[in-house]
Amino acid sequence: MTKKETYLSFSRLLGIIALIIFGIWTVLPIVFMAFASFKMQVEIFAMPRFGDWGGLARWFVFKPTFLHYRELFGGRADFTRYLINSVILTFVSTAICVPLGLFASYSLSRGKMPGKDTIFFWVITTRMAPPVVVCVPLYFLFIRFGLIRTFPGMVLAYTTFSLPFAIWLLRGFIDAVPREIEEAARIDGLSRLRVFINVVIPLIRSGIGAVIMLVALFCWNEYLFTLILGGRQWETMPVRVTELQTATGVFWGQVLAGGTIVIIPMVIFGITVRKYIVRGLTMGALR
Amino acid sequence: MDRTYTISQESFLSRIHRGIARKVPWYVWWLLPGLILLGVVTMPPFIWIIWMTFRKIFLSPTRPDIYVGVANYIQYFTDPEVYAAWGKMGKYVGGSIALQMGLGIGIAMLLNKSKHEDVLMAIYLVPLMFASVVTAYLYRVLLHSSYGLYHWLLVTFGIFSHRSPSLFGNPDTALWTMVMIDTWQWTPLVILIVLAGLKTVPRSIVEAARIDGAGKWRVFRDVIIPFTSPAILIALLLRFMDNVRFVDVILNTTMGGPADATKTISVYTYYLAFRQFDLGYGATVGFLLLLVVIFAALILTNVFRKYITAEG
Repeated sequence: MTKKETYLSFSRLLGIIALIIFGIWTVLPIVFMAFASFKMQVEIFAMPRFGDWGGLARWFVFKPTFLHYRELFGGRADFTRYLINSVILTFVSTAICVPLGLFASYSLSRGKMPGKDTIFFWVITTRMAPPVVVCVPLYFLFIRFGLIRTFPGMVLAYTTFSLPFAIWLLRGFIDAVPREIEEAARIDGLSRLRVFINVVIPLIRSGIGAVIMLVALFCWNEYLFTLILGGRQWETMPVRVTELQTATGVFWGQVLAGGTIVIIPMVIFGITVRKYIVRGLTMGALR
Repeated sequence: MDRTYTISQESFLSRIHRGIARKVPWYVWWLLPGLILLGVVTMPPFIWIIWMTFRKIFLSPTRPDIYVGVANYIQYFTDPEVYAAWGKMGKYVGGSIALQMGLGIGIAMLLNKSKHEDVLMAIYLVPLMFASVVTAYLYRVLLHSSYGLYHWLLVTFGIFSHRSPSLFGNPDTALWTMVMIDTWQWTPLVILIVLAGLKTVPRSIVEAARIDGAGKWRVFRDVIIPFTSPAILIALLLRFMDNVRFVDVILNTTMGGPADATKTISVYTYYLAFRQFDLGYGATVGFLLLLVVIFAALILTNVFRKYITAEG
């Protein structure tokens, strides 16, 4: 813990081993996917004899091919379109969801209204509904109102199903801001909106960063609603990946390459803002 | 004349507006957009689901739906598949949560002491960013019985014999394989939340307890756990809610098989609605699932609230 502890005690060694094993267990599938996506399909499946460790090591040494990536973006798979769909939908939904969540959670945190906790709990329950159950009636409703396979419909679905989570976390952050600060600003003559924008939001910005990250992650990875409500026009990359499976078999090389493309933006995003997530969660949600 | 009319109407409207604005407090205006959106999108399907539970739905233009009373509910309580599905659900959710919480808390505590916390967290975080669909396909390759890397390792270490089916293909292991995959993907979230909780433990109190002669276990039980319990409960609640809901990985790997070994109640709902097109009964199974989840969450949040008030 401190710098004085330079000797290696038994329990510390055990801890380091645990961290390493957990690291391998975490990383191995990811490394496998990244490597396999640059191999020819036959090579991916060319596993050595059981017990032949040298053969396994040779599996990781090969001449990389961009064949799968080229097929994804150039061939029938038409991945570019789905990449654009994913980016637009995630961006727009997050951009609508987070401000809405901010206003709603500030109101739920500071407003002196009756039944506040009931409203808050209702908001959370809307997140508990299993998508499998909701998507059937939602499908018929979306047809009824012409929202099926449209951009507004998809944004509506994404925003709504991320909003409870955003409100839940943001309320914790806002609760943690001392009221005295806001009252002082109010006495100085700022309107409530000004206080919110100029005082409260800067104070909880790492929390907001965490929420943006998680909302974007949920939107980016959404599967079941997109599958049922998005249709061909607004299909996103995760759904597209599952369609690389045909009656004759799965294009494993393309699936793994597609998977790699799906996760890269979020992995980069997540690693960049990971400090904000921990700091943000520390600040509010855990009080 | 025309002009006067317009002016008077404007002032009339603005007067009404001002009247309402004065009566309705600010927080209602701030809350409404979000609540309306949530209400409009989630409530009609919810009501529709309840309505469907009392009907038999044929999805045919020539054959109208019929009202069947509580027949769907009677079917529910006499359906052996429902009980089996709940059992599998219990194993899946219980196993996943126990493993993830245990691992997550342990790793978070080790990380909190580690000098390389930052780098390690960056590595551990990656599975969390995976789309569940990608996770499903990746594990299908890894566990494949003739060319999967994990299968190869299992056979090489002698845990599996040469001719074993894959972990997915064996009804005894399929459900636990799902637990394992879920743990791989979601333990990072638990680590993140618990790590954030550990950062709220004041160092001075830990040191004071040490000076007073408290051993490692006492410090853990009486200092660290009380301070991190809100974090642990949030992680627990989040994982519980998502574990019950999500079916993506199961649907993209075993589809509920082999021999229904991974047909949890959520997967069973999917089957009824999208395979057998028995929407009325499917809605019933789903609705009762939702009620159980809400009830469980109510208990969890109340426990949670008690902890908060106990701390002051």
